Amino acid sequence: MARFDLTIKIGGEGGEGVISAGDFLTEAAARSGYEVVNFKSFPAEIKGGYAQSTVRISDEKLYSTGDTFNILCCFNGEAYFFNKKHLKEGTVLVYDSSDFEPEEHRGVIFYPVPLSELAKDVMKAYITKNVIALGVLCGLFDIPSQSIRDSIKARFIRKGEEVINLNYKALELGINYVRENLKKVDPYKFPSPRQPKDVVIMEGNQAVAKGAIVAGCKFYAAYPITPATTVGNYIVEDLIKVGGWLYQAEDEIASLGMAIGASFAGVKSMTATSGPGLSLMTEFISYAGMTETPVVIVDVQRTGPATGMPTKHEQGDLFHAIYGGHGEIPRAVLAPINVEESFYLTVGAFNLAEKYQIPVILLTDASLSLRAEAFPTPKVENIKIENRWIYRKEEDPEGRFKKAGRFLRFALFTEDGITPMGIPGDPEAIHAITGLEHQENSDPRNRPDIRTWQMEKRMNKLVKLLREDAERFYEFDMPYSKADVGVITWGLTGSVTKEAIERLRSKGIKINALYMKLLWPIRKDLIEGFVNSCERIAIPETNWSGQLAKILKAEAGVDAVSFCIYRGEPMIPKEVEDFIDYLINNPEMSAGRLTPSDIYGEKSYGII
Amino acid sequence: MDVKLKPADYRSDIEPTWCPGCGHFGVIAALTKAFSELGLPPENIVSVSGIGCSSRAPLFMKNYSVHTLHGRAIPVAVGIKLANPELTVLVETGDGDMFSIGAGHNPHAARRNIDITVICMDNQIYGLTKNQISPTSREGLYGSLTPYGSIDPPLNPIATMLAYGSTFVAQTYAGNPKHMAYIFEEAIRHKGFSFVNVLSPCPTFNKVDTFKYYKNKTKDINEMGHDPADYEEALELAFHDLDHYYNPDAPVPIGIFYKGTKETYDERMRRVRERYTASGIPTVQELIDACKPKAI
Repeated sequence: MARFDLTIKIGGEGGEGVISAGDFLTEAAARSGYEVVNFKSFPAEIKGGYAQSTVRISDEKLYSTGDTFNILCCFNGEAYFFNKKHLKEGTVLVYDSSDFEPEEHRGVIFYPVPLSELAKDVMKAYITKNVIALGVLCGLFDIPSQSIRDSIKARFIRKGEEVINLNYKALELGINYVRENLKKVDPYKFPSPRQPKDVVIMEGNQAVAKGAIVAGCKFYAAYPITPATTVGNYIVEDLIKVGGWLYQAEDEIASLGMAIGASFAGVKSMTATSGPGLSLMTEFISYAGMTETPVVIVDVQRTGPATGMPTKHEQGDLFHAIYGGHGEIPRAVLAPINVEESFYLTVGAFNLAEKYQIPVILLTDASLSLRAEAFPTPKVENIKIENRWIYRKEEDPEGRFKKAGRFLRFALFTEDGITPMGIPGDPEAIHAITGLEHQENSDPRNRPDIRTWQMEKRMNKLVKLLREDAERFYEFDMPYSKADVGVITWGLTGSVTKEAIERLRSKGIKINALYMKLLWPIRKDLIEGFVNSCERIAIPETNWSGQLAKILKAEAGVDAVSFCIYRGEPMIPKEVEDFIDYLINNPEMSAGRLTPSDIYGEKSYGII
Repeated sequence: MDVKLKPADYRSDIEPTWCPGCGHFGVIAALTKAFSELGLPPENIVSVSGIGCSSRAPLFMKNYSVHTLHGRAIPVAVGIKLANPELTVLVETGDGDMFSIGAGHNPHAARRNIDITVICMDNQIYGLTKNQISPTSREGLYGSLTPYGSIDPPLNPIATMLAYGSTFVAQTYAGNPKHMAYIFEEAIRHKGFSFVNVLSPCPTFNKVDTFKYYKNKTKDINEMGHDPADYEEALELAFHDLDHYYNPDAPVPIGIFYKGTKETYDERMRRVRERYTASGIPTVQELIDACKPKAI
């Protein structure tokens, strides 16, 4: 267990610097050699609305932003209003006393600071309010102010010395305010710095962007949609620098069409969208499967259906990612559980797309997209990159892939169904691709024999994928040969579950876990092996149906108890813990579906 | 190899599945002639199409071909062109693809002046689905879904594409192979977005807009003195493009309505890229390392 585990939440008006204050704290933790996770939440409004940034710091690996906070820093009364129900004995509240006065809370430690007044009257610059607050936090909790100064300098270097110095002054003002006016009575203290690790700090969508660059992506088709837009924001300039391009398409249908076109022309390509965009792209996903064109589609899931809650979390697109579309195509679906995996699985998505010439869908979500983590700096030279099989005449001396002068793009004689692609510009590999069923040389055909063989050629590529590339996307945590409960989970809920499992085990509950990063295709044998090691299977998911549970039932006959939360916010570790405790207390339950009301009583949406 | 390929060298060995008497036969004949005249290596040509009778055309050609989804030829063509601007990218499509299901793509490829050539085989009908009216069908035309005769006013392809900012807009006629080949050659040679509407009769379902109908009705606007550089006159002429639907004495204009010069999208793209890489190209590792918490 961690010796040190501190969560600071900053809340206030959007545009007041809440998010950058959280970023600076995150950087301070990373520079001091600690583990850090940061979750940001923006208002849906362009200006104003409630914004928050939660920073959790520990000396041990962190899986989630936890259940709640130790320190709450409120820039305004709204932030207090939204969070006051979580104030409990020992919680610290730092707040802008020029904006509001809190109610009485037993055992809560108050530090009133007139943040707005200091910014307006002393600094003569309201914009420095967030840095004054950071100074206060430095003064109260021993956060290394030098690190905040470094962050200020890095952030404002383009704005010039004057802006940097103004912010330095604001920081000092906050520190001095604490020294002269406040008496520290809480126990929270930032630990003394240890050897800093070689880390990067990335947000979820940024990790996707960087992963794509590492994978060799050179074309990105974008259409703005919350919460996927920032993947494009993050990748655009990197892409130009490496000789690629981002094109803002007229709609999502065009986006995927363009990505498929670019891929046909020989360039690794992708698009990112959210649920509504995925719906529009579905016809082209089917086409990519039929024409065996590698392409990566990132779905940053948000709360559906229809327009739903665009800035909010849900794991509701799994069915669509796996089954969506007319007809049947080979495809792979990947889902990272944290930011670091968002990076590596994006590389993985390109690798699978290229190796198997299939569309690959990467499922992340609104909350993961805005989560920042410090993780070990990826070393590009150690990352394996797959490239598609491109036809080269010199590798085909017998002319196996030519018949009557035609290039056999869809040749049927390779064992694994994978056949070389021809890239425009090469006179030896001129061919067509078509969404019509086709024979080896691409000509459209309706014949039952050709249809059968081509269908098998395409679908059997997944057999090879399952054999060669599936197992590494299954993370098993199985300390018990027979566990009371086995938890299978995916996406962001996976990282929340990791924390819950640590707590459950410390209570003596025997629990095994499987984190599925490859959701399709499914390795039935691996699922069965896991299921056999557990008395019962529990699957927590943030969707209505328990989509993974249903898929595992259909594909591997797994009986499981689903726990479904569909409120638009991620689960917290305590809820997963309570779900498992509920199962332990109800030994007769081995299949079915639970909602928060079953566990917490009627009309419950959980305990956030 | 400096020997010019013959038009037949650009044809695949697949026999077209079009009905006898279909205008599209002439279109691919003229197109291969244009390829030959321009001396284009087949491996550098990518023909992209959507769905419909016309969209089978790329499959009958010996070049890289992409037969896409209904209405989606333009986005796929744009992706191909941006990925490799050295390629000659054509869209070979029909009036349903271009002006109904895929109409949302036209303005953007046109206004951005993506250097592709769009050839719309306009037969004013949905043929492959067997006789439904299209956006360019004249009022009163019978289709299987409009047994009462169409009550929809037709869309004007020429005026539409001019308004969208297409830098090359022309109309030609499948019954005039020489004119077709000439227009195709000019369209492909044009640097920027080119749109050619080919009046290409459907002998099976459209019994009104036939070869017989067009005979002696087409008038070459360039021969009559229209200067393609004159955008305003081009618009004026375009507004009269469909007059013949309503006035039996009105001619059907063919020729180059407009040909303008504007920087192409890939030229602009290249300039942005040069700006970004002026001080050197970073390694991928450097792009990752940029996410380290900076210590100043």
